[in-house]
Amino acid sequence: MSAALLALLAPVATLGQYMTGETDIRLAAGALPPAPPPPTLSFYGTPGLIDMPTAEALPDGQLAFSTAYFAGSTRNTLTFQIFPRLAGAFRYSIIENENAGGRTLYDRSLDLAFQLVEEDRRLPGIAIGLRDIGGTSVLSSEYVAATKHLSPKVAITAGLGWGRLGTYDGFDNPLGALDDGFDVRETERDDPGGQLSGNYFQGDAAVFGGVEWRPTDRLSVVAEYSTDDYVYETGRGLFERESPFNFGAKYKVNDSITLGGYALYGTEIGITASISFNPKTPPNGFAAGAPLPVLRRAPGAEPLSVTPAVSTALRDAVSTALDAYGLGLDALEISGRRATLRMYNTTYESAPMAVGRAARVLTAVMPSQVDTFVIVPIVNGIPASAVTLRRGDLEDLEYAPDNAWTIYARSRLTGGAAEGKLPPAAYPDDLYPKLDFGISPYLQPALFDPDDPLRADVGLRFTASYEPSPGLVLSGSLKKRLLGNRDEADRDDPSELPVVRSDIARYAQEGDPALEYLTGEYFFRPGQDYYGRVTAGLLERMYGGVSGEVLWKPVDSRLGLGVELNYARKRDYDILFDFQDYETATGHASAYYDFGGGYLGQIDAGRYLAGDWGATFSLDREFDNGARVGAFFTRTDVSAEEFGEGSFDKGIRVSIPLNYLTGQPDRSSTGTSLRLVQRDGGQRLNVRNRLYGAVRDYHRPEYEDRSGAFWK
Amino acid sequence: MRSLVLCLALTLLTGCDRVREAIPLFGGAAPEPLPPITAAELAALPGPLIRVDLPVTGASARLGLAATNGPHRTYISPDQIGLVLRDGTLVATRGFSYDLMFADNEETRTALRSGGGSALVRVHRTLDGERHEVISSFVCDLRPAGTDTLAIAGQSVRTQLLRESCTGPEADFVNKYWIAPGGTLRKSIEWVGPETGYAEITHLRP
Repeated sequence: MSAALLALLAPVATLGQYMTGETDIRLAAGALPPAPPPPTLSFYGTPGLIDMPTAEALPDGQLAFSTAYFAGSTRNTLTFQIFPRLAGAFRYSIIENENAGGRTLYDRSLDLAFQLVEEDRRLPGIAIGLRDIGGTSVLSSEYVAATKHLSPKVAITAGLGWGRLGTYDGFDNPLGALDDGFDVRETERDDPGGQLSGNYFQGDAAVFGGVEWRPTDRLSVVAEYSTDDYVYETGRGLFERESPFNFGAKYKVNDSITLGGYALYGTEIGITASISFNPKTPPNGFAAGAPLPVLRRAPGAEPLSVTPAVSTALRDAVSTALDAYGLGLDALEISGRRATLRMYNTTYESAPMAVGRAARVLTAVMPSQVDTFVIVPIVNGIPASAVTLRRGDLEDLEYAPDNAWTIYARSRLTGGAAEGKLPPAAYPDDLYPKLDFGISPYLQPALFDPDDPLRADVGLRFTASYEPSPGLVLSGSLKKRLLGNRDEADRDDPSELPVVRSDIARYAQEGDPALEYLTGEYFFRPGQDYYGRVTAGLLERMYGGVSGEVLWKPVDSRLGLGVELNYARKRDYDILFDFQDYETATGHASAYYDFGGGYLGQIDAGRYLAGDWGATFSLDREFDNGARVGAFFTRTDVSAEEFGEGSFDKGIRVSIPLNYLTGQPDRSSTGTSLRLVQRDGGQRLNVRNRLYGAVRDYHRPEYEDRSGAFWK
Repeated sequence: MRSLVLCLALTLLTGCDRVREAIPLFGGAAPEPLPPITAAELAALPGPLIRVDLPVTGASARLGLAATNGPHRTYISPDQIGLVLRDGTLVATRGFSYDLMFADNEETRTALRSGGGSALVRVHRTLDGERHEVISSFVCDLRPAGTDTLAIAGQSVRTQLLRESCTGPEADFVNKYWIAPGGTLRKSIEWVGPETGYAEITHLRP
C-alpha cells in the first residue's frame, strides 16, 4: 500500500479505536450495535466514496438513479440491488473531446457487484465488483474492496483495483502468480461488443482506499486515494491529473435525493445528484375509501325465498354496491346456500383486496340462508380463477388477530372454468354490448439515441373499445403528438438481417397521428387449466396480422406453459392502414415459473420476426405492491457479426403501478424496456393482453403473497 | 414533495403514459376543522355518532355507526374514513393511507374498567409497503391523571382522565381516555401508527 494512502488512513484508525471502545460499552449494557447507515453513491452511481468503490451494499431492492459530472465526463447510472448481496448497474456515460476534430464518446456499461462477506462486529464487509462486464467500455475495471465501520459515523475502505483502477501507482498483477494470462490486460476485441469479456482482473493492479465520515444524519464527508490515472480523458485534453487525492461532501436533501460536491485530482470540481428509493416502500402508502363493513346476520334470521324477481333485485343491489367501491358486476347467481358472483376489478392493484371488498358487499345483500360465496374475477371476459369463502368466516374474522392469513387459509382457490359458468338468467340484460371511450395525455421518451440521449414526445391518446359479448373485444388507440423531438431521431444503422425493428425511429418520425392498434380480440377458456386468446388486426405500431395463444396454468401451480403463433405483416411508416411487403410467421413456446420471493423466470423459445430461431431468457423481481424490475436477453441463430453492435439482444425493464406512486386505487402501471441498442435479431411481436400476466394475479402463489390486503 | 420528485424521476425513467391529477403535487390546502357540534345539530342526527380529529393533517370528520359485528362497532364518515371501536376504544382504522388493521388492546380495556394497570401488552397490526402484515407489540402502563370537564354538544361532562404510556421497539406513544361516571368512554386520543399519528375521538352520542 502506498505511503500516501497509509498517511491518509492513520489518524482515522486512531479515532476508530476510541469509537469501537464506546460501542463495546453499549453492547455490554445490553444495547444492540447501531446498524451502519445505508451507503452513499460514488461517481459511478454505485456504493462508493468518490471515484472509488466501497464494499457496501444498498438495502435489498433499492433503486437509485444518479448523474455525475466533472471535467467533460458525465455518468448517468441506474443501479438496482437485485438480491441482498448482488447489485447490477446500467450506465450511460458521455465523454467530451477537447482535441481538434474529436468526437464526443457515448459509452454504455453494465456492472455487477457481489458482497462476499457481510460486515459484522469483527470482520469488514468484502465485495467484488466488475465495472462493465462487456469489457468494451473505457470505464472497464474490476475490484475487490473491504469496508469497515469504526463507528456508525466513520467507515474506512481499502481495495485492490484492476483495469482503470490499476492505472496509477500500479504494480505487477499478483494474480500473475496463478497464471501468466493475468499479467497483460487484453484490450483488443474483434467482435461487435456486448458479450462477456474475458479480460477480468488482467493487467496491473493498484491499492486504493479512503474514508467516509458522517458528522450528521444528512452530511457525509469523503476523502479518497484514487488509482485511476484517467489516461483516456487526459489524452482528450479534458483535464490535468495532478494528485491522487479527492475530497468531497454529500448532502442528503430528503429521503430520496442526495447532492454532492467534490475537489478532484488537484485541479477539478465535480458534482453528483441522485434519486434513490426502495420499491418495497411506496411514497404515499395505500389509500382507498373504507370498505363496506361486514354485516353479520341476525341470529335466527328467516331465509328468503329467491324467486326470479327477488334474484334480479338482489343482483341490482349488489351491482350498485360494487360500483360504489370501484368493482363491476358481470353476473350473480343464488342457488340454494351458495351465491356465485362474477365480477370485474377495474380499480384495485391488489387482487385479494378486490375480492375482500366484493365479499363484504355480499354479506350486506345476500339472504341469510346463503352461507357460501364464490367470487369469480373476470379478466378480459373470462374467469381468471374462483375464490370460495364461507360467510361465517367473514363474519367472525373481520376484526381478529391474523385475520388476513386465516381468511386466506380457509378460502378455496380454484380454476374458475366450471365455477364461472352461470345460467343466462344470472346475467343482467343490459350489460352487453359495452362501449367505452377514453382520452389521456401521454409522455413517451426515446432513450439512448447516441446523437441525443434524451428525446421525448408529449401528446394525446384516444382509445375506444366495444364488447358485443363476454370475451369479444373490438378496440383501437390513436395517438397525436403535441410537442416533442422524437421525430428528429435520424439514425440509420445498416443491418444484415431483414429490417424488423431497427427502423423504429422512422415510425416515430413519420407516424403522427399514429393508429397504435386496431384489433378484434377473443378470449376463451378451452378447459379447466387452460386460457386462450385470438387477436387479429393492427396488432402493434409496427406489425399487423393474426395472433393466437393458449396458456396452461393450473391455479395452484408455480409453473405456466404457453404457445403463441402469429402471422405478422410489417406496417407502413405512417402507422395508419398501409403495409410494407415484409411478412413472416413467428411464434414461441413459453415457460413461466414463479420461484417465490417475488422472483419470476420466463423462457420463450421459437422463431423471431427476422426469421431467426432461438430463445429469450428473462428474470424479473416483482414486489408485492406490483413494482417490478427485470432483465432479459435473447440468443438466436444469428451470429454476433450479423447481429451488429451489441452481438445479441438484451435489456432491462422497469414497471411501476400508478397505485404505487399516488397511493390511490388504480390498476394501471407504467413501464418500459431499455435496450442498449435496438437491432433486428431476436425481436418478438408486441401483442397486447398476453394471457399469463392477466391471470397470475388471481392464482397461487401471487394471490397468497398479496393476501395481506384482503381486509384493507 | 417527495412523491412529486419520485414521479418525475419515474416518468423520465419509464415514460409515464398517464400523469394523474391524483398525485398530491403541492400537498393541498390544510383542511378546515369542523366547528363543535351544537345540541340542535346533534338532535337532528340519528344513532351513535363520533367525531374524529387528526392532529397530523388537521382533518376532522363526523362518523356514524355503519355496522355492529359482535363487540366491534364500525363508524364511517361520508368521505369513507372508517374507525372501529370496541368499548369505545380504537381497535382498527380503514380508509387511511396507513391503516391500523387491528389492535388487540384487551388488557388496556380491562384496566380501564378497574381504573388502571401496569405492564399491559397491546399488539398492533399494520401493513408494510408490500401490504404484508407487520406486528408490533407495546407494553403500557395505565394511570389515573385527575378529573377533567369536557364540553360536548353544549353539555359539560365531568370525566376521569387516564393516561396510557406505551413503549415498543420502534415507537413510544401516550394514549388518553376520558371516562364519564358509569364507565362510558366520552373521549380518547389514541395512537394509530407512525405515519397517521394520533386520532382524537369524541363520542358525541355513545
